[in-house]
Amino acid sequence: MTTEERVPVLRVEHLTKLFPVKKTKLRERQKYVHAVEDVSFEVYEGETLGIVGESGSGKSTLARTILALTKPTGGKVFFRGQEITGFHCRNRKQLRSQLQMIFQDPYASLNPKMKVGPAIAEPMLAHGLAKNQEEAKKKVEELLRTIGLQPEVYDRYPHEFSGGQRQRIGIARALATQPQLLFCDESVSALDVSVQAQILNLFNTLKKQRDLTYIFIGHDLAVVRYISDRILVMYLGKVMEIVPYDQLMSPHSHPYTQALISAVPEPTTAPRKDRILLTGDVPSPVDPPKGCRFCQRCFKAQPVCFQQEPEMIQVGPDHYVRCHFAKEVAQP
Amino acid sequence: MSRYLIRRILRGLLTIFISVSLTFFIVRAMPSDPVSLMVSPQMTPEAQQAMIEAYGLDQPLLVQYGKFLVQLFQGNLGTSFSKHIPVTEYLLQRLPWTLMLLGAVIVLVLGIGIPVGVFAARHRGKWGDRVVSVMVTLGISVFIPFISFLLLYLFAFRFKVMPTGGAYTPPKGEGLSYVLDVAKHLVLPTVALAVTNLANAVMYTRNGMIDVLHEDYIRTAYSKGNNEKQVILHHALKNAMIPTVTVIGLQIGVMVGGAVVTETVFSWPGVGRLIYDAVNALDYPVLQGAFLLLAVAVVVMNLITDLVVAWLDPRIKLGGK
Amino acid sequence: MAAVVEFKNYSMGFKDDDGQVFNLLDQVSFQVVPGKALGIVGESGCGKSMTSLSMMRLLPSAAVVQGGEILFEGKNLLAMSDEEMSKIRGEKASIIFQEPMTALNPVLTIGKQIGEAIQLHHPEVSREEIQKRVIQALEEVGIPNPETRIHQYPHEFSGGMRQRVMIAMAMINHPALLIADEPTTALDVTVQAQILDLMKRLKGTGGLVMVTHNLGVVAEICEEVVVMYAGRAVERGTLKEVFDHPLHPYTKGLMASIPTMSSGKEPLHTIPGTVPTVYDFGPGCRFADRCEHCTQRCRQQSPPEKQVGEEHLVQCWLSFEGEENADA
Repeated sequence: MTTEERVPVLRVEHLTKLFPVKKTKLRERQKYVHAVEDVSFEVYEGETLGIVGESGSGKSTLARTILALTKPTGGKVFFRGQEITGFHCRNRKQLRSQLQMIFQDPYASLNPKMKVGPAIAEPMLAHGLAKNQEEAKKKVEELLRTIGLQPEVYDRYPHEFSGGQRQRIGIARALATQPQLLFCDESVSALDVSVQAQILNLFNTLKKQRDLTYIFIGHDLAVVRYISDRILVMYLGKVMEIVPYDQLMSPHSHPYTQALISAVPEPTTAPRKDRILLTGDVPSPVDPPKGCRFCQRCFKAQPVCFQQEPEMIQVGPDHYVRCHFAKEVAQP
Repeated sequence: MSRYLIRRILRGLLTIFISVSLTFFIVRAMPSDPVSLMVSPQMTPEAQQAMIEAYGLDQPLLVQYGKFLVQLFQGNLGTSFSKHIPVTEYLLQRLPWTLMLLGAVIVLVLGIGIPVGVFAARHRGKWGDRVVSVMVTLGISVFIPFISFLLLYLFAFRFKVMPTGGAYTPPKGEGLSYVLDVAKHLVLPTVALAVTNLANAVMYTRNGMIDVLHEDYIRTAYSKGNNEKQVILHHALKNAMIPTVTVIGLQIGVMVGGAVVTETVFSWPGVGRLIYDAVNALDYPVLQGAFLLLAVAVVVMNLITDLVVAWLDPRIKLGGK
Repeated sequence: MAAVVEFKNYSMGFKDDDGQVFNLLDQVSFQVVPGKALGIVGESGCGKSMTSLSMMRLLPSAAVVQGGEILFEGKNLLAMSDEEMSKIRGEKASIIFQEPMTALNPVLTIGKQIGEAIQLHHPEVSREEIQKRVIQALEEVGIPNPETRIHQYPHEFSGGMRQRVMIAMAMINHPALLIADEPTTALDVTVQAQILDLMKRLKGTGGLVMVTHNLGVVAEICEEVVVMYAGRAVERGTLKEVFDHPLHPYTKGLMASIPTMSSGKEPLHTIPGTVPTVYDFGPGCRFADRCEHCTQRCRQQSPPEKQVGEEHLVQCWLSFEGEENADA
């Protein structure tokens, strides 16, 4: 696909979300958690954009801010060309059906006292996608079959299912409103390895069947790489890199991405390359460092990194890196 | 830390001020008149009027309030209507007795409540725990006057092993025999007053302990080679006591002035008894003084409780970082 | 070489509220050799954590030992008195848990918590000496400024630092056996890499048991592997044998279903169904319901453990090249 053919489904411009930190002294400068800061990207029709990051990277907050589950501090969000920032628009309800989220723990998002069938039917009825209970039930049963469950489970309660099955129900409920863009927030992180593969395959099958676009958020780089077409790497609220999945291991990658890749323990007996070991833990997103967000832990850091924040630099087709030394690598 | 203390003390003073002001007006809103109680019909009208003026009762309420505040800042709580002595002196006579009673209650509550709570937690679900649970339920639900009268009836009248009331057998003795005599008088009111608190202490310690014993760090403690006794003493108790201390601390503050019923039943010459007498005599200054004392006690105990809890739990930062 | 720990047909289960016992670990056998690291891998409910807790005799109260032996330096742990066991814990055998956030006592200083391990087993050591050793141990696990850190409380440490503290605490008496139960699961990837690096360096002469669901972590650290499924050690052997030539259909399926950094975009291999719980175990192979090679015999009879190659055992009814009955 060339750039001209691609239609952005979602465009995010300079999106920022700061959470004020509770002040403990009377006269104190207001501090903020820089959860998401100046994040810009596009998601194209039919692709899976992976968002990867460690704790405090702001990957979940980013999704919540886009979906107006929390109010953005700044920036804009466009869905199919229309500005939808904070969902302050007339077709709010329609947006809610077109943009759906699948959570890490589907059990927490399912009402334990409600049978799963009606729970899935509820959004259908609310968004007028089914005229009455009977039609909804029929549609839900069909949906259950699509996601690999027997239609008979319609009358069961969430606690009667295993983790993998519950995740399937979570997916069914998200699909009930016939969304176009699905946010998967750590949707397979809580699952056993053997079940995780089933759900990942299901995501890919559904994508083809229903022309879906995904934003897949995770902390497991191998999983995110597998499912995504492009990957957005976040660190302390900022985008460090946007990279096509097959360029992830390229030498042009951001030092943080390189360290992340190097840190993934691979289930193989092949001797591994020398590991890039970062020092220290992920710093707190409250009062992040002045220069590059990654400067304190970066193995390539120079004085300039502590002074000045680098811009996003294009280092290849669809490949952007926020690093002072990115250009050098890109154009030798 | 010092900043925190200053802030806490200022807030405490505000609390005390509000409580004292409320008391001032509530006392005066009582549906009877102290004048009628104080002045006897035998007095000449002039003498009656002089007395009313002496106590300032002829002035408008707000003026009385202003005067009261001015006096309060000077440390003067006024003169008792009924005893005709300064309220401060009157209170100070009574306070030691209440403190003695409270001290005994605290010793009893912590000394018995915590070990029993720990015992119940260790034997959770077994018969020992069940017996304790029944006792706790009884202890919490019992009506204090009832237990007071029951104790009096059983030990003072039936078996005649305990004195019926007062703090000592008159005339006031000296030396060891006096101490023993007071101690003997102290037993029944202490028990009566301790029952509910003891039950609470047992319950909070037990529940706290059961929660704590399920924590991961208890497993870590065992994994280092601690035996059960060491785990409970060195790892669990400090954590488990945090809720107990919070609850007991607050209750004790209230009890300084709140032991009215118990002190009255046992004729214990403490602040509670004083409040009872003052209400009967509509002795405004004494009531105000007693409630001031109560407010101070609650504020102080709050502060002490917070300090103790902060000492037990380093995660609590006094006043934040 | 004499094993540090040897499981011999060890079985345990859980008692429910009515007193009925459900078997979990069934006839588990393996050994841990000094200087080597053994990985115990499996998914949730496979009994890997119960295996590690059994070695320390720290099982929850509902657990019931149903048979077999756990030999620690030749002595059966299961027959020891509580007192004897307390002497082994923290001195000869230590354990590191998954959650560094909750595994340390919030109201005691780090120094006191680490020092306690010395104090309990070596009461003759002076306070100054204990402090010196604690500071040294913290230095070894890479905690900066240990002199000030020992006076701090757990909440003043980050997750990665707490796990370092746990390691220092477990290693302080140089135990013959170190058990690490999912030590990096709660940590960020970059911090996990640091902790794994640290554990590799400190492995030393004792035996290490690494309990994890992450095959990558096992590949990183271990020389030997036990693959557990639903309470049984379905396959065990050297890392190379098991990872390069997996035999059991479960091990094979598991390996194939993990996306790696070099996976293509084709659909992942999947194992159908879900991990069974103790209430669903049948009389035969516990993997039978999800196995593509399942036969009638698999459902009815528990499979034998077969020796395939010198250091490779597998519990399966399938035939393998060069197999021998392990019991023979």
